[in-house]
Amino acid sequence: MKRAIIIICIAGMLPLEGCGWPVHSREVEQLQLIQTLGCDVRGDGVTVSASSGPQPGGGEGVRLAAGGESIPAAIRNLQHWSAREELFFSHVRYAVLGEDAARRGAGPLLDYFERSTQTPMNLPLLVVRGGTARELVTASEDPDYEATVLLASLQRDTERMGTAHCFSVLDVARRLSRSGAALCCAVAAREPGGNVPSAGEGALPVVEAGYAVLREGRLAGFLNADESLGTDLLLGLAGAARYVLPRDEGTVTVELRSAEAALTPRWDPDTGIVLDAELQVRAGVIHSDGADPGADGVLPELEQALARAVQLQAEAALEASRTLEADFLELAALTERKAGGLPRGARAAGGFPPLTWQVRVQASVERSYDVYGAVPIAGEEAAP
Amino acid sequence: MFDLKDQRTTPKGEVTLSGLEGRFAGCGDLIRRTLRCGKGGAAVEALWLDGLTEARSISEDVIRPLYALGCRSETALLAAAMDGGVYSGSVRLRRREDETAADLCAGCAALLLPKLGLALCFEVRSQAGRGVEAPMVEKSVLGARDSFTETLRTNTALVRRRLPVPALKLWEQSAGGPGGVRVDLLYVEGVAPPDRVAALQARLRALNGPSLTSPGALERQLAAPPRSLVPQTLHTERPDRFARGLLQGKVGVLCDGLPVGFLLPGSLPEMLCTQEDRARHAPVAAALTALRALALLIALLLPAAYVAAAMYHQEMIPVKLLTSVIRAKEEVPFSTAAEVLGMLLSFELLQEAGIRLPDPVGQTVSVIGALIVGQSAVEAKVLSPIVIIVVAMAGIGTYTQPSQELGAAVRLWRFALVLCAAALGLFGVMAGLMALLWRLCDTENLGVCCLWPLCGDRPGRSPEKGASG
Repeated sequence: MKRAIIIICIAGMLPLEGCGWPVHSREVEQLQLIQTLGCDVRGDGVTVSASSGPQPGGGEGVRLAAGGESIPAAIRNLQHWSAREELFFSHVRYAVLGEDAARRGAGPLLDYFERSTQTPMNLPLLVVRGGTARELVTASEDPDYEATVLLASLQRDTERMGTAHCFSVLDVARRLSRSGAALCCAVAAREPGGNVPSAGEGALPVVEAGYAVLREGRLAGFLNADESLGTDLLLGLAGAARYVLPRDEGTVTVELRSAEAALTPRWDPDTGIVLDAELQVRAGVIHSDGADPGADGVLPELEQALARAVQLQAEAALEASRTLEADFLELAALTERKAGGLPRGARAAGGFPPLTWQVRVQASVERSYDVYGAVPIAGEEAAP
Repeated sequence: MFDLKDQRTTPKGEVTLSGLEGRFAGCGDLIRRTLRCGKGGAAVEALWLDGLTEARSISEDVIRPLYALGCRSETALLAAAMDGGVYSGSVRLRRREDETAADLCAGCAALLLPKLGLALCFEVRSQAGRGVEAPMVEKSVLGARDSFTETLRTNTALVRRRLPVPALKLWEQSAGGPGGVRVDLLYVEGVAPPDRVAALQARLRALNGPSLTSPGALERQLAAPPRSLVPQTLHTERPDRFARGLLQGKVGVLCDGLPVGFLLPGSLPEMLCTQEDRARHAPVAAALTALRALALLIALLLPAAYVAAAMYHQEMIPVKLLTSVIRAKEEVPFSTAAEVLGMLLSFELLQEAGIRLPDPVGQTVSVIGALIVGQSAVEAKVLSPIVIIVVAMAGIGTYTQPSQELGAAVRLWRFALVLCAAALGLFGVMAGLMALLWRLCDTENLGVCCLWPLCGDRPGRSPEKGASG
């Protein structure tokens, strides 16, 4: 009996994991939910911007910005601008860093998230390429183009297409701690005159802009679209990316259905890290413009072309890693794990060890059913 | 042959007509008739209570053979009647007036022999009463459709039909002495632990008869401790469930006038099962039992969890739901705890009103109540819709419980848990829940833990505990 009671009591404590003590009650209507939090530099201090996200029934949300000598101080100042009694940061969904703030260092923002008992760590960290977080978080007055809505849409699209992956604050902090480098999804304001069918005046549509590379906590540079896709392929995060493969008689567009990467790094005293990357990709034809994918010998040629394109992207990502001296693919850590540790002096002082690679790609392209020509269409003769 | 000298007590009794009439003074249903045993035969007085007795049985089984006996003395009449001269299946010789009065109240006809001071009591009880009907509460689709009635002997017969074995023992006790409410204790010899039977017999001997007017009154006196908030007996109106309980080693109690059987000892996990589960495939029955367990948790914890989350742990609520809750709560003047407590109280009031009123009116009250308390309160911004949903979900969870007693206990417990949540959030809920679990683990009836088989020793392992109750 006593054993059962003890087990019950211990089990009863489990739901309390994560609860702080002492507890303070507050009524929900006193809270102003914040869903997107931005951080920029301002002189020696910072500017924090916050947006409450979409409101039920299409109501207008709250967009605030305040400065301070540190992020906690700026957030304390934000409270004065709120009509509600308390800004509530437990439901923050996106953290955004302006490019200048990222260049100065993401450390303060990561520290704030790590130390705060209120904010979660599993939210995506984004970097605004060529702009400030405040522009993104507070500029839009249209509820349909509010920052949280835009970023949620962007996250879904980029992860589906495999063009970039939204790494969380926790991911970034862990990778910086482990490898000294990390990737953040970069966003940018759409170029004026872009095709935005239903954007209202004042809306701020954003587009994905590859990856921002953080090295030792500071922005080291950005990866372009090919480098980003190559990075995703090497990290096994590729989604349904599309490749337009040129043919003599036109083009064939294929879409990735799966991609697997096997990275085998080893340490060579003469050349440094030698990476043997083996990629296997499977794609399907989704469109052909003038070319006939069903013709004899076309599919093997498409497979070769796809393998070449994938190889170039992977090599571009590796080249970017070497150029930026940022081990965002965590090759050194992987080498250490496989080899039982890098030799003394293998890492340059604060830098990235020499890297050479060999990338092999095995691609297979599947042909979808061609309706046109197989099914008789009114007024046309069926193909034989 | 019957011989008065065989009787251990003095043949001369103390039963007198005047004495009995004095006891029943003011009782208009007492019928008295002077009978003569044939021409020149002895004159005796017959008494019975109208309505409790069968008139045809009195005339056919008592008066007609009595006249045919033609006995000239009371002694001869007594001997002849005791030897089967009267056709009644049960005849008892009474020497004391209180015994005779008790028999009259139990539906017997008393034949007074004034010179001997004795009374012969013949059982001519009226069988008028409710017939065996389908269960009202424990309804079944696949199972049997009979249920207990208010007549004790009908109920014991229903059980014996399910268990036609001599090992089914039936120990009868009149609560409150002779003339008290008859209470039967049923058990299967060799299956029910003897110490359990002895402990219950001791409790039944101590019963206070006049208070046994409801199942709750009997349960209070059978349970140990009697004021416990934890239900400790299994109620059932189904003879098949009662018989199954007896085969599992439980001891059953049936009381005259109550259409409910009691099985002891009961445990909470057993109260989540229904008899119909036995008629279903095992996976389906297990899934339904799990569903009832989930409903029990919802009924018990949902209001408290909502209060804790809305007042202390808003980060636990998904963002879209929290946004809606904030919008709905903006114009409500009460705190979340007050809202939930008020709504729970309103729910109990409506439920009580629906039960006490006649069926058609009760349904109307429920519908009107739901409309008033629900729609109007929300429109008037007195309550937020989410509170109504939470309390309604908790109410539905209560209704899914097969045991009414468990459902009633849960309704009380959840008030306490809401208060704990309002005071300390999840810490308070968990503290209250652990106190409740501690209490449940610590409550035993007849040596069996209230939460068995989830915790506690196997029943019957420690006979000394069972004997002490």
